[in-house]
Amino acid sequence: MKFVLSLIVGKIIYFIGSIVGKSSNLPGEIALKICPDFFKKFSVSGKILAVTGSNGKTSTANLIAYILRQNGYKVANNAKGSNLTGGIASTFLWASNLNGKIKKDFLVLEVDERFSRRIFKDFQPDYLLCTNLYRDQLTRNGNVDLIVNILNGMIGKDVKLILNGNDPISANLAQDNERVYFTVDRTELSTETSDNITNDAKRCPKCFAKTQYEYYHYNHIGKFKCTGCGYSTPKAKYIAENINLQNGTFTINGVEVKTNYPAVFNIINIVSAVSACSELGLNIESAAKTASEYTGLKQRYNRFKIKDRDAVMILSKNQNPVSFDSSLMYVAEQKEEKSVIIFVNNINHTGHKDTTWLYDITFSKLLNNVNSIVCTGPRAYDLAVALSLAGFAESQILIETNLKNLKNTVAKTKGTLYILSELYDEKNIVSALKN
Amino acid sequence: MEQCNILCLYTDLLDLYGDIANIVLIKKRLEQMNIKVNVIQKSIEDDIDYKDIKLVYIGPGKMKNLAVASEHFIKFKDKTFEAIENGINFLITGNARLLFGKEFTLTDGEKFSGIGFFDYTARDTNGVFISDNVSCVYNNTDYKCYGFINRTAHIENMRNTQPLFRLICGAGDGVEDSEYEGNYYKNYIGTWQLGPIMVKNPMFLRGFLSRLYPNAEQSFDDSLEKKAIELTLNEFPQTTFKTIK
Repeated sequence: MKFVLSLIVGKIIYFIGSIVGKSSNLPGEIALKICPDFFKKFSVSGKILAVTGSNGKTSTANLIAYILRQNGYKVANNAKGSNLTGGIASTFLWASNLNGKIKKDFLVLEVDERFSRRIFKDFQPDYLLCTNLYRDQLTRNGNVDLIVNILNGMIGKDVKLILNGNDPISANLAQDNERVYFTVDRTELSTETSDNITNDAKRCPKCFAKTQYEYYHYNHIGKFKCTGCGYSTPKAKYIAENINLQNGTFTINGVEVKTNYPAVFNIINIVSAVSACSELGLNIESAAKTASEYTGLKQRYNRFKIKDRDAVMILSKNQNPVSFDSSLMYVAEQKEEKSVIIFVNNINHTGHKDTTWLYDITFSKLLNNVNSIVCTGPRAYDLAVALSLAGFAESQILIETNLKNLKNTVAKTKGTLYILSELYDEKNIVSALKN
Repeated sequence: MEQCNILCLYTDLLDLYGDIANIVLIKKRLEQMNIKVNVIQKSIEDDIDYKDIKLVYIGPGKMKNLAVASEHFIKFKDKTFEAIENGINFLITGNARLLFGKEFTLTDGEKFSGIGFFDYTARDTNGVFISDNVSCVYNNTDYKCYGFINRTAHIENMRNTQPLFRLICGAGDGVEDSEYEGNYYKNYIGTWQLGPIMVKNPMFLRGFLSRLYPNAEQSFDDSLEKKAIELTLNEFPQTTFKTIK
């Protein structure tokens, strides 16, 4: 009875919420309050794929859902990135009928790694894709070991894992479970030494001996081998090769793929999505062809105009140095004249003034590569200090704490504007620059 | 030219949260003071030798990594006691402080020994504890400091040592509320406060450098750091020291 009530109330709130644009979390949260064992009551006819990891899970999960839908499958997913318990419950609400039956071929669920144990308390996915694991939002996640423990505690013995063979940390998850790996071959940007401050796998996650890399893609992602126990990049079922970062082409198991966003981390996301779709039963040719047509990655990367000036928004997660490093790596590769705007806020949701994470970012990638960097947001001066320590001349660092004045400060800079910002702050920055 | 040897221990194991920037800035400032700096990195495969070392740094890490470091560090217990007693400078941040207490316990109950220079023990939790701290250096009200605490463990039984900071707001070393944070003994300083603390607090860094080289002129420009800390401190309304009834 409680379940039926939760479905009716939840669906009504979902309907109202979708009109006013607030349907992602609230309906599920209320349904769970009415019926705490809500998830246990559903009858799901298709397969459930969960997508988790430190970075790239929204992009990857949305790409997977797109590929499956375009190939004729019925899919439900939490497309808006509502990846906590309420968001997952809302997805179930939307996908089910009033009998609690979900008649979809696939449920693709982007899942917050820290909440995964709570979400999967009452049901389990058939497949789990983990994109990668590194230090991320340490004020809520603690450290990557805590996340590994949570995931290992939540993954049931029947869950098939789809793992990143270039990541020694996530490749080591739930060692007794059936698994497949995907890997990405050396690219023109691969390095033989780690150029980043943040490297969470200097030591082997199994035995703590030193790790060695044949090459790094970025941070601790690459082709690795432990000097102690021999743990190394595993043999992959899905291999991306022939990577051309200039024209955005590569192959997965010999099948060509093309992307309009040829950043290494994005190529890894695409390979993970094609691998997952192939595991779900789609042939790799169809998955690769559909992935090549996808344009939804503009959610994270968007080129636009501010009057006559080119601008590129690259969403980068606060408290996530690898996310910023990846964005900086992409900016550094662009050969045009450019300036960068970086917005640094206080800690999301708590308002703490911490900026420790800025010192895990390798800002020096942009040395001799940009005209200037505009520091903005509540912690603009702290960012300026971090840039100064990274070696930037004071003349290159412009500081504007007040967004109302940002436009005037930015007018002093030259070239294409690359804007690095958290999702939450994106609209305010664009508005400040345009108006 | 004078040479400053800085010994950084376990940076490949204890490297969690941007704190190595403390050493990057200390090196920069010392070089601006015409002191040559040599940073020596040692880890669990190496011998630890404090000969000719001016400053020892250990930063925060994941608890399992800290446990591995502790099994190595305890082999150098006697040498480390002697080094602290002889006045070598130690800058120990975050949970690296647990290496200097008696023992620490992981969440699964497994215990690891510190070198026992201080009496305290520590216990890890499955939670994440964060705090903005505003404080003054103990017995020095000339300037305020800001630091950020982010830890999973708490220190217990802190005694027989001097507090490093007197709190205006924020958390102490343990789970109980406290008026103090951190501890010092001779030239050893230990604190949970990150930031990194030396980068975030230019006046504290100047005091630290004065202890390292009392006669060296500090002619560098740290006005940017001073402006940053001023703006941060302006966001905290508290003006008096915490009192615990």
